[in-house]
Amino acid sequence: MAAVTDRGQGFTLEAVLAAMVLLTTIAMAFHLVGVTPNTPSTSDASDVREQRAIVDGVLAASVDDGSLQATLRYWDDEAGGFHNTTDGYYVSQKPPTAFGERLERVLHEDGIKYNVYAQVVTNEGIATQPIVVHGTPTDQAVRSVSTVTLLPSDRLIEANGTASSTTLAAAETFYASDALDGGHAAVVRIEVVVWRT
Amino acid sequence: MADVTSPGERAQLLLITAIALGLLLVVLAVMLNTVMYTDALAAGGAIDGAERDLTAYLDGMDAGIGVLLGGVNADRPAAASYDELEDATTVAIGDWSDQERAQWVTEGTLVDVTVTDVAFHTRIIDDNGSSDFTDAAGEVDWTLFDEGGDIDTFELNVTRVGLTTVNETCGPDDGCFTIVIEGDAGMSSTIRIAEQTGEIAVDISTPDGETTCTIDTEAVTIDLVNGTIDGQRCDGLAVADRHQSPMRLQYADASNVTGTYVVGFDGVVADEGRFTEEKSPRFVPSVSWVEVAVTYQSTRLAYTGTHTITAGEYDD
Repeated sequence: MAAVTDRGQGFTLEAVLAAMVLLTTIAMAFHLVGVTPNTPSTSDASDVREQRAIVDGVLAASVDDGSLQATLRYWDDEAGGFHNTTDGYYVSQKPPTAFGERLERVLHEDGIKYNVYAQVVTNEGIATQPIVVHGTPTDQAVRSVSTVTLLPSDRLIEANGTASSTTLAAAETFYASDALDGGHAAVVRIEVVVWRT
Repeated sequence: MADVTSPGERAQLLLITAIALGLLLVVLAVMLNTVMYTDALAAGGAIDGAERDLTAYLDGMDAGIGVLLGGVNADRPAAASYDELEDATTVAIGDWSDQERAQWVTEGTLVDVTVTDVAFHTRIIDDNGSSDFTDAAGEVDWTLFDEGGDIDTFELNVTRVGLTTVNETCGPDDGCFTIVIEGDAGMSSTIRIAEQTGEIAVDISTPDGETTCTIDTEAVTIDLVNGTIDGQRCDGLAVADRHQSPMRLQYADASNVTGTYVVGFDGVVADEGRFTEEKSPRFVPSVSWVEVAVTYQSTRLAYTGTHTITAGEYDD
């Protein structure tokens, strides 16, 4: 009969620890392949945060100083689009307004591309009027929204930046005409999408 | 554990220690990875996005309703009553809320704004320079408002002709045109305007004392907010902000003065029947602020609250 020793206890402890190493390694492997908001991209979390802070700040500042509201009224009623555009909106260029200057200075010069859309309620439902389109956003694009209220008595703005004699209520092709019908104010939802190229 | 006596047992102990150290390192790696994972979630997490959407909605609401109120004030009819102005405000905000709801519901978010209170600012105007300061019915003693808030404008243009003539400081029974401003603690100030030895005399009685300012002219501008007579400082005359709201403003012997006046204050007039619709004296109400009940319900965040929004300046 073999001598009684305590080596069996050692083997047990060794096996338990080895099992824990194995399980913990598996758990870590799952962590490493976990889907995070950054998984599909090379951009890191701080970059996303930075872009969010920038676009939120640009939008808030433009609402506060009225430059966004002015850009929404920078409309050529005869052509049925924003001034100096061929498609009705700005393609790969900034609007020639204070809001456009801010977008260019803060975003574009920092290597950030942007699209800006205006969303309004129409008789058919919700309609989207592009303002600026720079391309198709990447999966890591960041979005910021805000709301601007336009009054029927507000005036369109001429190409040279002066107030037109045409009120929004009297405009024929303005994108928010349906909402302005009956003397109501129009709620315009602004969406700015930014992404780093 | 038993004493280590054999080389085999010693080797086993070393192996176990090595495995334990390996385990410790792996645990540390998992912890570090967890921290980075949490950080990544914080950067693009659902809760963060939900809070940003709520902030965007509330900011847009404050700015938008401020603009709306400015528009309601600008578009009001010349002879709008408080009720008409309140109705116009409620309709405008209701329509604004409907449009917001239609837009936000596309993202699965329910929003609603309901008006719970409307506060007014009022300007009382008499711009008929040849008339006295009686009310529309010719009453000489009358109350312009009795639960008013801050007075931001109170300016009178009066002519010497038409004032009661006295030889010394005007008393309560001398029939001089009198303005009484009474504050919440029963404290009051009295201004009497009369002709005294050929000059226009303004007698001021406040809880701090009595003063008289005189000026030798045919017509004078008296500013009870800035405390000036024709631009010159008159001690004690700035009675408009001397008292705490709610305040009462009364005229007495208002037939013994000729000229114009304008009073601007937070609140409503005591009796709309004492004013004409478009002549003098008339009152011009405007919405000062509204209180709204806000509901915001997204899939990740619910918010209800009450917001007070001040009317914006209207600028087309």
